[in-house]
Amino acid sequence: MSKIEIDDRLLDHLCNLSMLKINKEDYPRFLSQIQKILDYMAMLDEVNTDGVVPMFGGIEFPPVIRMDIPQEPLTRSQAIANAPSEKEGLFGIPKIIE
Amino acid sequence: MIRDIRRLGIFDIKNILLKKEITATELTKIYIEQAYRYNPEINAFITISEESALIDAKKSDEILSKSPDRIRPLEGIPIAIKDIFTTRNIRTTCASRILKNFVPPFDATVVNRLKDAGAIIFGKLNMDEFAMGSSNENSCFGPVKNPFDPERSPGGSSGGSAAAVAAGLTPASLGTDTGGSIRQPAAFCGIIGMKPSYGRVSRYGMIAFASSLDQAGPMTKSVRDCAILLESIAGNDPKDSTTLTTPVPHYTEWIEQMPENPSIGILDPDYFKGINEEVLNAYLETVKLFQRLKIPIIEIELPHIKYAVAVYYLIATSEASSNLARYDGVKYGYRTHEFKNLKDMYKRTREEGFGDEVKRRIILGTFALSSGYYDAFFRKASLVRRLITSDFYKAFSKVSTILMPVTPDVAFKLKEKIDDPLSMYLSDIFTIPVNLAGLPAISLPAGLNKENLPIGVQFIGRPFDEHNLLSLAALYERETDCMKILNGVRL
Repeated sequence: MSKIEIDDRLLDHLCNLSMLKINKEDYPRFLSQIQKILDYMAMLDEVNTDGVVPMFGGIEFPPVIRMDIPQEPLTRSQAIANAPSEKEGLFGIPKIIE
Repeated sequence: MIRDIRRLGIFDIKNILLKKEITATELTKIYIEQAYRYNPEINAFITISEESALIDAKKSDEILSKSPDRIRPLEGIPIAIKDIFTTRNIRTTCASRILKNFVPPFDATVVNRLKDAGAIIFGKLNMDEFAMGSSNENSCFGPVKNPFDPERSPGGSSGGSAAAVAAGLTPASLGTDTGGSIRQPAAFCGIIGMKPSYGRVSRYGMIAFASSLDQAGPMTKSVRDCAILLESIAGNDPKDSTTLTTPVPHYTEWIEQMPENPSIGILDPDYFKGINEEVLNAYLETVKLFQRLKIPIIEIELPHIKYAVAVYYLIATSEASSNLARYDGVKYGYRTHEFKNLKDMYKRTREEGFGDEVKRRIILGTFALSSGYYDAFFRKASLVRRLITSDFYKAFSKVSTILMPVTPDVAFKLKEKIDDPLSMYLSDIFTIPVNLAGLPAISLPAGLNKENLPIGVQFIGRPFDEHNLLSLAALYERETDCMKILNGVRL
């Protein structure tokens, strides 16, 4: 893991990847807090994990399967009821082709 | 009788309903009135669902008065729940600006199960935004106050649930626990909180934070109530493929009997260096109690738990960064008002919709999963997670239960840690390992400190051994009369 320095460029990149925006005046605060957290995480370097299998799930057991039985879906009006913008029963978004 | 309603839990209320000393409608009106009256002081409620609650109460009254054979386990009992569970036609915000006006078209499975058991959902409780936090200060509705001391945090993220139960504003509640979010607020507010095994309770309709860690569980004023609630919500759900088909034991029967071959694992005091002395003493007193009860006490080792906080804040943030990608201002939730194009709309929506802690976690998670850092961060954390889990399994080959403090300290003051996220994260050091390993654990009161603040102790069990954990908790409750600490509530 070694020491990672998080700087403006890396934060820009991460904001871009995660579709987030952070005010430039908040950058120093975010950078110092995230740096402190990453420095703390560097302790994982000292753990020998040779031959260890990663654990990705909460508890490991075979997946529980179910019969594929159709259920009553939401109606169009229910599905769209919370949309911030709705046009003719469809989700409205800004124009994407200029 | 009505005078003491704030002291009552589910079991007591069921009794007065069955004796017809009160109707479900009268009771629901009392809880709604109390919620309106006390909420300005405690800020535990986000939404009070008066109209639907009174309709449900009327249905329960019909059953209670005319069809005694149809009375269900939670018939007519008003319950307020954490605002992370989707409730059909009742606003569900997750304490986030991005969901501030979201009215789900469906119920979470646990909500369905509570309703099927006869419960009346009358309110949605405050929490840290998207369950990210340990103090309840990350709510867009402002922090909840601790009923033992309004200057202090009730803990988080299920702080509204813990405070409302302790203050008697709901007889019991449901919370969620990703890294301690049921057990830590339960400890800070002097109540009982249980995180079931991963896979015991459905996550369908529970707004996702970290999918391999999240579990819903009861927050109550007695072990019996905890057993009643868990029995109602647990079990396989076809809508959540991680819920096991293992039958749900009759927890309410298990609490009447002794646990099967109990033995208790304790850690060397070195593990607890630097924790509050009164918290440590309460833990040691609990060890002595079990010694007196002739339950074998065996020293165990969990050599990797010191890495749990680092592992957790890589795994939980990674999963969160993925889960929260869905909030884009298109299908539901908040959308920014001014934007140049689609991408700008996404970015501004998320900038304005999420609070700082959520942004910080999305950034950390995105970092841990991003090209060039994945192996050293996310994968490394997943490897160490395996070692932490293996430590627990080794310990459970020697003992049935592990005893630990819940928190390193009692409830801290509001604003004390808010500018130092790492110090906030470290307050979860004893709860986080349990989530990483998918184990069940229950937090119980272990007395008050000199300042009249609650201290908690937790029992950690083998996977799907909730019945023995509850049985041991019931024994502890009988021996210590631990719930009397709620007399110290100041609200």
